[in-house]
Amino acid sequence: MSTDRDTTRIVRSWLRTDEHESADRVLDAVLDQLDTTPQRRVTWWPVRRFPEMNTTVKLALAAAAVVVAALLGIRFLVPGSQNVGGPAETPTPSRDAGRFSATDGSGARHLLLGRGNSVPSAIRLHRSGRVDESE
Amino acid sequence: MDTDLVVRAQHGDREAYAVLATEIADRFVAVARRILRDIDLAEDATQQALLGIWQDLPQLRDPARFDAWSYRLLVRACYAEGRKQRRWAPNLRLLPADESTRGDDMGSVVDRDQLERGFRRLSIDHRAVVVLHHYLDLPLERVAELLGIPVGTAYSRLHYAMRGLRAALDADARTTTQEVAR
Repeated sequence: MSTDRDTTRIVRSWLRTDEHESADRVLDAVLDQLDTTPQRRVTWWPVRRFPEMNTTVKLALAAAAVVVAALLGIRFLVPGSQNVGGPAETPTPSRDAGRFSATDGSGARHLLLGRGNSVPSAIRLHRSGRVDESE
Repeated sequence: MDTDLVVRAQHGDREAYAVLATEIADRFVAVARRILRDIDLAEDATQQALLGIWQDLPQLRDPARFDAWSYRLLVRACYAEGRKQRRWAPNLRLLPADESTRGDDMGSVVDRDQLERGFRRLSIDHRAVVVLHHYLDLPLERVAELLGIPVGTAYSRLHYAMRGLRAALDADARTTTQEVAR
């Protein structure tokens, strides 16, 4: 039965047995490829990789990416899909007794009266009859 | 290792890298050959490692650590080649005709064969620790740092590997004793 020391000595001797190992062929191949092999420069952008990602996680991420892409496609490519729930009411300007007025989405009317020392520049008439004045 | 050469190669100087590669290539083939036990795989691993070193050299922060860093890439290339070997290649080895007459203190060619078989049974992880420690004479702390593993793991791998190799040699001794008894 060999001792630990014997084993170490035999293994070291075995590993150091001369072999005819020349790297000439390898070196030629490497030096030939250097011209066409670019170096990877350090970038300011932190590159992250997850080499040991689980297959399930990969599939889930791929499915999520497809869903997001589909939603974005429907949102921006299909006509009329941007105003889901009906078109929003836009203010419609009109002339009222020589003064500019507008109706906003709440149905209130704005009368633009112009600026003056004591005259309000705008009056807001609510459907309920309430009146707001602003300078 | 000349750090000036490393710095020049980091900045894309191909001639500087050619000098560096020439300096390390023979040692790389020798280490890879001992880990993989196959000269063709060892040459492929060395080629991959040398190209990988060239590509990633700009990312090496401390040029003085080139040696340890380059060995880490070599061992990774050996892992990759080892995986290919397990998938595709038959495990054959041609022994040179004069191997049994070589003068060393190993005893016999039978020892060598037993060691060869015992070593091939080890994983690349274990082989790498044995080769880096017993062939390159690196202390286990350095081996651990180089392989990116805890020092305790390096000690444990070396212990397991040497136990396996010892068992292989003891099996050989038992066989020989039984033959003599007959």
